[in-house]
Amino acid sequence: MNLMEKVRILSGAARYDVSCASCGSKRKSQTGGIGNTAVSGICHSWTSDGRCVSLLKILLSNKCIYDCAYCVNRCGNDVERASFTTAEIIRLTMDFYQRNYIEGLFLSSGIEQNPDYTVEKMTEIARELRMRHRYNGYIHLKIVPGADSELIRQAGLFADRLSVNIELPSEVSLNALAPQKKRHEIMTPMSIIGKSWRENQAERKAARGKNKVPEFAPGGQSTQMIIGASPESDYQIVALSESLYRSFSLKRVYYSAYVPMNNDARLPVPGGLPPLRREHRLYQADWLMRFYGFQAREILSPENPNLDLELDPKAAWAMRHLENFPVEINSADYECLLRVPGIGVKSAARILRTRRISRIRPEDLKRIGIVMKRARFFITVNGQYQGKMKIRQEKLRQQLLLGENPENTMFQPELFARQEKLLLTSSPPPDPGLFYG
Amino acid sequence: MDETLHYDGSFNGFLNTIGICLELGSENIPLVKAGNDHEPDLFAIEKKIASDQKNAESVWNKLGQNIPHTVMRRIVHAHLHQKPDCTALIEYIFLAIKLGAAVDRYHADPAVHRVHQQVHELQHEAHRLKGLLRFRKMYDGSFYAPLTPDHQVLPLIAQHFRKRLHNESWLIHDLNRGMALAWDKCEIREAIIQTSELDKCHGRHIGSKHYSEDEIFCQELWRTFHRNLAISGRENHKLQRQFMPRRYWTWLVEEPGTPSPLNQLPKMEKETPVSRYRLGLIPTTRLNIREN
Repeated sequence: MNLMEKVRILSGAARYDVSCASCGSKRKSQTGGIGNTAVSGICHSWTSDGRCVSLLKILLSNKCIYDCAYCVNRCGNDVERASFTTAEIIRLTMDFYQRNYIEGLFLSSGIEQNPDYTVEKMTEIARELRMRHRYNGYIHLKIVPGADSELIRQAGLFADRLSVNIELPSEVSLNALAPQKKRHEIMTPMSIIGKSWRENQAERKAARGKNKVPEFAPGGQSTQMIIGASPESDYQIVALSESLYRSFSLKRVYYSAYVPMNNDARLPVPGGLPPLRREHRLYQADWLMRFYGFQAREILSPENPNLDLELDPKAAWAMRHLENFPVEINSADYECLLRVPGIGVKSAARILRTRRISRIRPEDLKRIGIVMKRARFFITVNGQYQGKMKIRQEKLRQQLLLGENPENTMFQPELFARQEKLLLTSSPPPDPGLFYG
Repeated sequence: MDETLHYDGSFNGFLNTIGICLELGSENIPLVKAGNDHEPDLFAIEKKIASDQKNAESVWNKLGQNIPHTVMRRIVHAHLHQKPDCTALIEYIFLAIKLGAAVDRYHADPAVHRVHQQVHELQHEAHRLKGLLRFRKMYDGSFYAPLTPDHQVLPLIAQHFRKRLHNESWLIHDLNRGMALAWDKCEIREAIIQTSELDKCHGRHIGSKHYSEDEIFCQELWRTFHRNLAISGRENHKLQRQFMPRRYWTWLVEEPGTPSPLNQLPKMEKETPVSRYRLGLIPTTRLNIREN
């Protein structure tokens, strides 16, 4: 099989791995070597589904001994199988990097023989790139669940970021859809990576200027879970993400909308629509937790377990807690400003900086970067309420939806509520009975 | 003031203009126009400013004593914009002399906002081009990258590639301005290359007569990779264009507009019992028909 065929098969096999970031690592170029990393990350291209391409995202091999129900590469599927050699991957990486097609390499693999064998092969490629070819670009390695702790530590010395896919949001779903992957086999590597990363950061800080401590995965750790293949509620997913960020020092959790491909009784019918709107709302909830100081129980609760598909989570929270509003722009503190819909992290910081020089007036707000269409109902400037008329709670939701999508002006939501719901939802979630027996 | 100051568009000319405005004071800022911005005003008296190197240097040193270097750099970047708003920039300079580094925190002021907006547009394009620039390997092992940026982004991206491709010699060519920056493993050199409209028509095949042997194969590998990475169930060309506007597609190696191959559904080897409900063979509601 020639190189072109292998690239076609193995890039297609890697398309469902959504993590794409090339940020977080400040690797400098060295004399005699090639490349460096950009700490902000750089996007090099975008695919026709709108996703960013910044890394050479491929599988080392799509031959796999596991039979996970949701995976295109499961051993039960009849697909073309291929494997790269070490030399081929290194050649692809170096050629593409020199021509500025990519920031670096994202290497994943189906499981050949056993997890340790696969991780060792991937580490070997990373070591060759760093040591023999003096390559200083980005490397992201996907650690297979069940890998040995010593192998993980070796991998971290050459990679900028490591990740282990958590795949499904609960142990029940994991046992139903991927019985060969055990929960502890996923959690143990994540715990090792998190602990090693924290220790390494502390060591490097303490040893600054003195002996050089080698870096362990400076970009941290991330993970990925599939949305829509199993019947968990959004509350369970968001609460799980919060605990992962806290316990394993994750940088990011990625949510991948399940694209029905496999013909399996446990999953939605193939050819159906992936739950894209739900995935989008989950990412918004994730951002709220990481940058806006929200907690999972503020965004959702057991009584309100699913995110509103029409309204974003921040505006939904504001609607439920109108006692916190209106907020005075010239005197509120940073945390209060962040909670206003229409004021983001940048705008809140700008408000604080501008306040130190002069008092903010209503005409200045648009220049500062606040989305006035949404924020005006929740703020006062010098005591003057910015919403043009007194808005009652029932009308507020309609106004926020109008602000979000101007096409709604000709649309009476109440009249067409049933049709709208049909448009917004995708293929029905799987029957919980299949999971709980 | 009725007078309009007209300079040639270069940064030296602009510094000369600043020198004159500093003498006039912050109350009397005249309208300032760059050379390419040629809209003749019926009632204004136009005064042409010559581009004097020595005067420009003395104005630069004088500014440097009063303004911190972060603000100076922002002024230079604002001027690299394709249509710098010079009047706003001069108001910004007066504010900077008054406030120092705090001028960049004064987001409410219209002049500061305008300058920040222009600098943001320039830096945004530079960051995009750091990703969208594609090198082609030539027969002698050097690399060539063509660009048609809106603004003068070459000074911003050259440093990035100097650090990244330290060991390779490369040339980045701005076809809109006929300018190029070249790195020969020792220093960055500026070059002026005569370009015609015909050169821009070559598209991604530009310079293909001088490619190295494996260049075409490598480009084909990248195209295959890029095409197969898309998930056909999530196709969204509007989103792709939002992140990567059409004007940047000319010099890319991949072809963004072409539809990706449909992801094929895998065939099942093993027989897994599929629920008849899932396949739609059993209706979801049962009609209650009473037979008499």
